[in-house]
Amino acid sequence: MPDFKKRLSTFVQMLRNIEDEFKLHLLTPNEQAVFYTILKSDDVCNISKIVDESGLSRSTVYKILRKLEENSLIEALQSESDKRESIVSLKV
Amino acid sequence: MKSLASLKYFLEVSVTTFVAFNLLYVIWLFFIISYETASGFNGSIMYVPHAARVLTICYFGVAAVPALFAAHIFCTYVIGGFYGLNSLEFIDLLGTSFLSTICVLIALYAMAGLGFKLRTLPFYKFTKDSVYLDLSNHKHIIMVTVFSAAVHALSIYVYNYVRALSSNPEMFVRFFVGDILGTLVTIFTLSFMLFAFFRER
Repeated sequence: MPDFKKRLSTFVQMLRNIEDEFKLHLLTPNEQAVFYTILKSDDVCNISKIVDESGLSRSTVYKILRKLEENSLIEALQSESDKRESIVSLKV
Repeated sequence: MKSLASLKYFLEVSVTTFVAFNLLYVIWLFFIISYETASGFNGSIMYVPHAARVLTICYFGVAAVPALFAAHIFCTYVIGGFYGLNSLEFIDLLGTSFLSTICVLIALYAMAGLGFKLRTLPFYKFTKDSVYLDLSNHKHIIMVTVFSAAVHALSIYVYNYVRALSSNPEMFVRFFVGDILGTLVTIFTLSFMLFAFFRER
C-alpha cells in the first residue's frame, strides 16, 4: 500500500539533495546542532546545556560558538547569577 | 481495510495535486499575464505548473492523474478564462488537458522502454537487473522533466495541427523550453525556500 507521507518525504529528500549539492546551507551539521540547541531554548542558553544536548565536546562547542558569533548569529554574555558562567542568545 | 487505506491515499494525493497545480497556475498567471496576452498566446516561456505534473506523477503515481486532469480544466477554463487566456473550445480544452495530463506518464513509459523504470508506476516487468529512477535524486527528476516536456510539446503541437488550431512550429519550442524552465524554476525555488526548515538533521 503506497504511503503518502513516505512519498512526500522522498520529495523532501530530493530538495535536500539539491541543497547539499549546491551548498545552500551556511552551517555544517555540527554548527547546525549547536545553533538549533540555542534556538530551541526559550531565551538564553548556557554552554553546558549546549554540550549536553549536542553531544559535542566542550572545545568544539566553543569553537562553533566563536564562529556563530563572528557571523552575528548569536551573542555571548556573562550570566548575572554566576559570573563564571557564559550564556548565549540568538542575535537574529 | 485495504480499500479504505487506498481511498485515503487517493484523496490525499488528489487534494495535494489539485492544490499544487492551482497554486502554480496562479503564480504563473501572475508573472505571465503582463506580457503574454490572449492574442497570439502560443505557450509560455516559463510554465511553472508543469512541475506539478512531473512531481505529482513521479511521487504519487497514477493516483494523481484524475486530480491533475480536473486541475487542468479548472485552471484553464475558470481562472485562465477569467483573464482571457483560454481561446479553446471546450472539446479542445478536454483534448489538450488530457494530453497535458498524460504526457508525464507517456514519458515515463518511454523511459522505461529505454531501461529507466519508476517504482511508483504499475505495468512494469521488474527484474533484478532493472534500473530504477531514484526519486530522491534531482537529476533523475530533471531527466523526467526534459522527456515529458518533449512529449507534451510534441503531442500538443500535433493536436493543434490536426484540429487546425495552430501550425506554428514556434509553439513546439515554447512549450518544450517553457515546461523545462518552469519545472526547474519551481524545484530550485522550493529548495531555496524550504531548506531552512530542513537544517535540523
